[in-house]
Amino acid sequence: MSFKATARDIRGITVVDVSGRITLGEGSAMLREMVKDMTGKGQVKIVLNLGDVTYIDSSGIGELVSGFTTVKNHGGELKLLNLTKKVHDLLQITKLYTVFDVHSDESSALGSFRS
Amino acid sequence: MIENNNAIHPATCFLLVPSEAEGPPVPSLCVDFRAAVVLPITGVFLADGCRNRMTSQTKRMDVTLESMMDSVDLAEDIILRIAEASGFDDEERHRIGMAVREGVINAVTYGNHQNREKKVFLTIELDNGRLVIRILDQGDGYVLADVPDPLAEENLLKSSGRGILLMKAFMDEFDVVRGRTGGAEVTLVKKLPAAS
Repeated sequence: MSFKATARDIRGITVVDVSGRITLGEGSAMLREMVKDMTGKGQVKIVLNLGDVTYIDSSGIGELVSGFTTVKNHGGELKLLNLTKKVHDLLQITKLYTVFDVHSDESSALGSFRS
Repeated sequence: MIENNNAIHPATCFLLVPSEAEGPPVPSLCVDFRAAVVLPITGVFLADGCRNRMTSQTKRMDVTLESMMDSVDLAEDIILRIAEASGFDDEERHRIGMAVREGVINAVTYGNHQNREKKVFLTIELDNGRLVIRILDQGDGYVLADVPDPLAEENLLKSSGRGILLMKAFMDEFDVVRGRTGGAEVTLVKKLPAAS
């Protein structure tokens, strides 16, 4: 299943529902462009809902990290929501689980942003 | 016969053939290419000259891959089929597939710099209860100790550099040496599951 992302705005926070594969090539590049586009528009409170991400490789992890850094450098926050076991395990292995703010439900993610 | 054309046709099938030797059956690979080609492969060589069916002695497959991104998905697909035929469960297949993916990414990107004149040589063997995978590029090689630690504080937020970490995490054994081409040869080993 190829990468897809749809964004919705909830009280000034952009929730992006991501599905498919975030891998080297198409998925990673699309994620990068999407975050760049959002920060360019001033959307710097972002929740990536990864509940339907079926696969992510090191390139995909790299883009999550890049996105995190990009948003932070724009004065915002990028958080992760609904990690599957595979994504969770990858973030644990790479010690990134403690870097990202990870949530298992959307309301908790939305409420966690600095006002 | 693998013929070059522009179609991508997943025509491989893998069967598990028990050994005819005495003792517990040993899984072998049976590879039967019925149609032509998957674009990034430039050649597939089966041991003992076997093309359409492997004997119980045939436990090795060599694949030559182009230095292009399509080869990453292809290599992963090949190893996933072999891992399934070898009896690995879903989680282990995922890990093996990811490890091979990361190895081929490194070979194509960092070893061969996506130079189409260079190839990536993938070897898959069943050897003494182990699945042994070798990925050899035609680059300049590297020393493992020189690779930055992605878990070090100063590297945590880098956007790349995690491939080796993941290969080590997902496989039972990992090694890298200078291969016969002068490039890096990565060896990934996973113990075969116990025969059911």
